[in-house]
Amino acid sequence: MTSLFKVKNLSKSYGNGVKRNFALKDISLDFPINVSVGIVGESGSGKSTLARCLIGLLKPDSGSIVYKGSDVSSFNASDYRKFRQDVQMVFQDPYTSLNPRMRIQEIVGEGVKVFDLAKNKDELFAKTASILNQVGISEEMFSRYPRQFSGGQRQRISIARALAVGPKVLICDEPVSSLDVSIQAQILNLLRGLTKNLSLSMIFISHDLGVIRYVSDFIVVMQNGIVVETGFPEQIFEDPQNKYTKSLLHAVPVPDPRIQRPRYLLK
Amino acid sequence: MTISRWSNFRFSALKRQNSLLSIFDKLIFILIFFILVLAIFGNFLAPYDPYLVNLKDSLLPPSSEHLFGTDVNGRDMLSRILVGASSSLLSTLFVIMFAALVGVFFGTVSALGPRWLDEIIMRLSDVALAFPALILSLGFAAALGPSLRSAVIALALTWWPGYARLVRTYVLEIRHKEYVDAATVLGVSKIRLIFKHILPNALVNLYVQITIDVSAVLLVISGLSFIGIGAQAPSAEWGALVADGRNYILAGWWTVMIPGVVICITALLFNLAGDALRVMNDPTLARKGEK
Amino acid sequence: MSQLPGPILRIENLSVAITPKHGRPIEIIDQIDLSVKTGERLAIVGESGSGKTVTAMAIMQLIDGASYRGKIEFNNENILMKSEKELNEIRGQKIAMTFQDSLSTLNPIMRIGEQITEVLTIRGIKKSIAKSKTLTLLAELGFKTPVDVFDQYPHQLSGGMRQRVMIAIALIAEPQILIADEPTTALDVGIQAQVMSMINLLATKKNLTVILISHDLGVVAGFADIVLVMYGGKIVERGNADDIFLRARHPYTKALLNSIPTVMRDRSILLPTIDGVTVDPTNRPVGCIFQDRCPVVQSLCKVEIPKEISEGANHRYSCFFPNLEDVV
Repeated sequence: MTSLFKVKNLSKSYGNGVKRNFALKDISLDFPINVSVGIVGESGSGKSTLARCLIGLLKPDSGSIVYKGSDVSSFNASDYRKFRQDVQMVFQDPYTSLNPRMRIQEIVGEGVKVFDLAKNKDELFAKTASILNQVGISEEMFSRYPRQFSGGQRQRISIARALAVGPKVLICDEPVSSLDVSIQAQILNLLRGLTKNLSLSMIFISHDLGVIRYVSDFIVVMQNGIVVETGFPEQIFEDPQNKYTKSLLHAVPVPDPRIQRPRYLLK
Repeated sequence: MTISRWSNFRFSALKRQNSLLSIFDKLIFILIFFILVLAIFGNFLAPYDPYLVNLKDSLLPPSSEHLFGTDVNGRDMLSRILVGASSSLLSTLFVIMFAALVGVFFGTVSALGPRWLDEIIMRLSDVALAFPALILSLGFAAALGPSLRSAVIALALTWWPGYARLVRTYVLEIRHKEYVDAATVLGVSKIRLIFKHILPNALVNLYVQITIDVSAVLLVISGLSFIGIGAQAPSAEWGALVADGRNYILAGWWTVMIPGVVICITALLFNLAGDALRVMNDPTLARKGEK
Repeated sequence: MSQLPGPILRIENLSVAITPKHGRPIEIIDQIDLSVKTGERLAIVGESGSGKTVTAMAIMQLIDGASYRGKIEFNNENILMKSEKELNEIRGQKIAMTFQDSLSTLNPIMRIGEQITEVLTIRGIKKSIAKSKTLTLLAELGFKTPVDVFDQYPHQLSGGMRQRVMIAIALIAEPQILIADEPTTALDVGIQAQVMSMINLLATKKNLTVILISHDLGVVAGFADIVLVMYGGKIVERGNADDIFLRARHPYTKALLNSIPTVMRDRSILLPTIDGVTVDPTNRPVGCIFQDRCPVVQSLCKVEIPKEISEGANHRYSCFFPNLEDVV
């Protein structure tokens, strides 16, 4: 029984000299298959860097990433191709994660073409249409450009793009942070539903504790490049062990004046 | 921090559905198209032979027979201008096209390739930029003999580095955009990444610069012809026309004024077109009252 | 600062429309009323397209090419009637504003100290006096070494610090009203609490009236005395913080509060969502503004605009059927 991702002693830093930023400091984690793992942390915690290392957009300085038993750095071209099809990503900013000069039908269909998942134009359209419908985008909008859609719709399109290639793992890097609360709820429900129906493993990155709690089966708390605590939601939220986790929980804004006012020193 | 940023965000969809070009802008593009047609078909449209010397008709003022009058050699000015359009505009466009293609190539390679290659290309462009176009043209004129061709070569060689720099900057900016990352994650090949994702977005602003540069290059080429190191007589290139008429300005103002005005108007049109393109790309750049 | 009787700011039946290049004017705020007393803390909440930022911009008259109907009264004088010169006297000096994105609002090539003192020096105050006032204010805002910060550039500071600098720029001329537009977005939760406490402290100390614009209901719950909920350019519900958070009546307010994944709710229950997308300002519905997304919409709602119902001293909302979903 192999884990999905096994991260060992991973380190990554940016810049050099005095301004060197140690984004990841020797972290080790195990991601089980078919589990939604939530990685929560504030800015500078390294959570986004970790996500990008896992998906191969960043090369770590040291340490190893093992995907389903094989070390990622030992991949040859065809291993890499398989990996790319298996592991997909949804990005944070709906306004810059879609190519403004491509119609959304093309954007979503690109992955299908890359992996030769359609034999002809009709099949390509069928696959693209199917996944777009699943995320709630109707056919008359297929030939439009990203700028003609709202933030929430763009995120749906991003999700469709990721799912179109049939991945086994979905890494979501702050996918709802730029969205309004009511739209956020829609996207979260969509992700929860899709991962269940398609039996996907999900790695969800966010700074919002409430969101993390809603989507995760297992939670990893990060601070300044290290993992400070891990556990099931009940453990983390009801019985946090680590001082940082406790302070983080304490600072989360709650829409209840009785709880919030004392925090802001209001009488 | 005014509402124009906010409204751009919310109403951009609306704005693009309504045409972004005012009637004025549309008129400009129509005129440019018209001029380009003249440039290509000038030879066929000319009512008289632009090169045939006919001394008895020397320096005739504009009339119904000769719309723009005749020059000192009795050649019809309208015909000369129509034919000259080819020389002036097509050579201008050649310079721009060459500079653009070379500039895009080197700019892209510079931005996406290894550091050492970037350094080499940038230093090369520094050298090319250090040569003032005028001096280089003189050099070419001295070496190859003055002609439109040597002027064009000199200009093309000094113009590309500007574009290389520009494209390099654009590509460097685009290459870290999230949609490029997304395409990488999707397994898209490097070639497709460059041609489908990076370049189309990076070059958006280049089209504006190119359009505006047409007027700049036109002025340089006609200027070089005017001072004698570009197109030579009997060429009907517009700058050469102005040079031809220079000595007869009192006896026949039309020999100088008309080609001069034509050069001016053409340069102006391309400038305005570039402006219109700029606003099309980014409506927030519209001037007050243009919104 | 003399205290005039009545509210310090009163907006009466304000509608704001902007005219795009082609086409008819688009109304982005539709007949809103509000009034704020001196020293009060008012919050305007809403999502994108609700009109909350436009309201703030309208008070400061910062909108290019907008047309206004109605009244905005500041100290019993109608702002909409004032000349640009008079408005410049008010902006920054009597009513000040901070913005969400500190990086693009602060001048990147100007030192922090100068950006703050500039507010005073352009009004004729001596440089040395301006500098000492600035240092005092920076200390009040929690900076441990104001003298160092004075000479730094914006990019050398963290997001929370830059936000506090913006507050300094806003407060240095001792305005009567501070409008804070999304002061905590893009800040970590710990820093958010810091910034909000800071604003609270200074507001109490200087008897400042604060108008907070935010989409973050948690932040609003901790700070506001009065809350206005906006949707599609209209105020759909208003009341004390307790009224809104504990006794919400309008279906939109209720749905909004329910769709927040708090750390306390039952994880296994699906998050209730509000279907659809926000109102298209070029295509406003006849009748209730929320009809296209309301879970309990009735035929009456599509024909008539609901009148405001009052409940308690400050609690008002516009809905024909506020308790329907509880029954249904």
